[in-house]
Amino acid sequence: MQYSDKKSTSPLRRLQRNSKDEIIRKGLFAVSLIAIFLLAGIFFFLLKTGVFAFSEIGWKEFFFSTNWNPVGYSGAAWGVLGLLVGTVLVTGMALLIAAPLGIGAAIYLSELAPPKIRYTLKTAIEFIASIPSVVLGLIGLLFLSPLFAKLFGLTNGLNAFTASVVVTIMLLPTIISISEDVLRSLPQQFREASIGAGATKWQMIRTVLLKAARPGLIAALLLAMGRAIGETMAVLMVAGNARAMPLSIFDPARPMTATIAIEIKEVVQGSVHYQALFAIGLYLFLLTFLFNVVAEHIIKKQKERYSW
Amino acid sequence: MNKNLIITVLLLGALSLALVGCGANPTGNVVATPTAQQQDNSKESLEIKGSDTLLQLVANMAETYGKNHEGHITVTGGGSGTGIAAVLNGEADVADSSRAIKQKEIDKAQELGYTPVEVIVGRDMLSVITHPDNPIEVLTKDQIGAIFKGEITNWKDVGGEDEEITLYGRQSTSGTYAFFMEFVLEADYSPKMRNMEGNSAILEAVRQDPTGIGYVGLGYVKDKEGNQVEGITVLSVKENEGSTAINPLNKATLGNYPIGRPLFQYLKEKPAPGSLLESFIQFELSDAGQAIVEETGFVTITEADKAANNAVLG
Repeated sequence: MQYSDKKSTSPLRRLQRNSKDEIIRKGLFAVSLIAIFLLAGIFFFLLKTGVFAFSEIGWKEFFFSTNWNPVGYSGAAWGVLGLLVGTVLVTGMALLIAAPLGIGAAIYLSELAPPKIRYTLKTAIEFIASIPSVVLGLIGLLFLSPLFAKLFGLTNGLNAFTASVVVTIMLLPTIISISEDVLRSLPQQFREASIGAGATKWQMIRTVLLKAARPGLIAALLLAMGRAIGETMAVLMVAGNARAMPLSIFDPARPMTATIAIEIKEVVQGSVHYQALFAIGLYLFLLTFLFNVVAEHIIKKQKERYSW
Repeated sequence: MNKNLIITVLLLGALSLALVGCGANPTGNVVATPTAQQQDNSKESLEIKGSDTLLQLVANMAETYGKNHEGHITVTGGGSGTGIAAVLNGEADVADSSRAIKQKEIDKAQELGYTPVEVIVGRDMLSVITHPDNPIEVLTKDQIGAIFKGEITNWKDVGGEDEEITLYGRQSTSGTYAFFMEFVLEADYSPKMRNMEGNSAILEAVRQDPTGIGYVGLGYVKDKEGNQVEGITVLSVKENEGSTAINPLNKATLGNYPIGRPLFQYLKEKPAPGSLLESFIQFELSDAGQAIVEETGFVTITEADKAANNAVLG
């Protein structure tokens, strides 16, 4: 009796389990679709308003003029090149400073640090990631900017360099934690084999580990770069925000994100200025999109080359 | 292939469309102040329209007024000219204006059979500030204009030391930016000017920069007792080379300070006694109203302004 009972329910249970799996699988698929819809939604949201800017503004002026002057005395000017240079300058310099510092710290944490020190440092670094960017902006405004002004003999420390230092602080946790994870995930045999073959620790790190970890390290830097391009608040507070295109790292810069954040508050909805700010948003969106596609490609290539 | 999936996809599609739809909402900057919870047609209402410079000020006054009075006051921007035109057409009761009415507009009003009434509700004034290490204390309006236009880039050209000038101004979206540009520069700002987030940011930057020059609202260079705040020099300004220099901290001569303008309101005619219009105008000119003028960053009306107002309002 009991035996037959079991036998009769068993296929039903199996069926139930299968359909449950199926539902969960499809549910998760739907959830992952949200990302695609959000991406498309954001794109159309920007496009729908931004594209109208070009009925008033020439393409050439928008992309190649360095004169951004929405409230001019004798008419407005809508050149974004100077703003783009501001973004590139701040992001590029921040990465230049953050990459060696971040990867260096990751090597120390993963390969050299005693467990106790490693734990303390990791906690501290992860804490940096949770500091709101407006707080870092304040530190830049009230502490770093007067300091740099004095150090470099400038009359004012609000410039592209100060902004990139503030952004560097923001990038370090991202770069350090991802790079450290990448290095630690390398097989222990790599270390044992190279030490066994007579390499010093430094030789092992330089010739074996860093090479094997290269795709992951590049991914860490690219992720950090995305964050640097999008950073707004801190940059807006310390970059100086002059309209002129920055020609030196100590010139004030006005990155694209800062321009949108500053001007969108007061602008009349539906005006050319409003549409132009959306067009800048669209420009940023397309730039980062293109950038991500290229990044994926590079990572894939690197993985193929250094696969183990 | 599967109902669940199709429904989910459709829902998400609708969601993203709704998201896109949020952007289309072409309203102007409207500040409505309902004074009573229920809007009753029998209650009087007031339509105020005009200068964006006055928008915040008048909206603040309408809000405070509404706390103790009946009536529905709507304040909208759009520009001085728009406001005056709206009053002439009968579309608005009051025009906010940051400039005096033009003869053309008066002519048009008289064609329609009335004489507009001019009330001065406050004054817009900017002080020009420098670092205390800078020996310069007086500049003409033209010199200040040339400095901010980028025509004069070294302090030695206006009698100071041989040092490059650093400019501090507001963001292009600020009314102060536009006022200073139209009133002092009469041309574009130098692109090298640093656009700061507000009056305090300019003040702080000039405090730290011996080569700096900036403009801020008069309220920001005085402490609560009316004395000058520390760490800056408030420049005296001459209308032109021959005229006397006036410092904006000197209350007695404030009316003649060159970087200032009256803030007007224009009415179609003298308001009827006991009307909502009359009551609101009186509130604006009262001590309570003038306190709001100061809170909003403007300067209270002078004795001469009061006399002029009384003459037209009776």
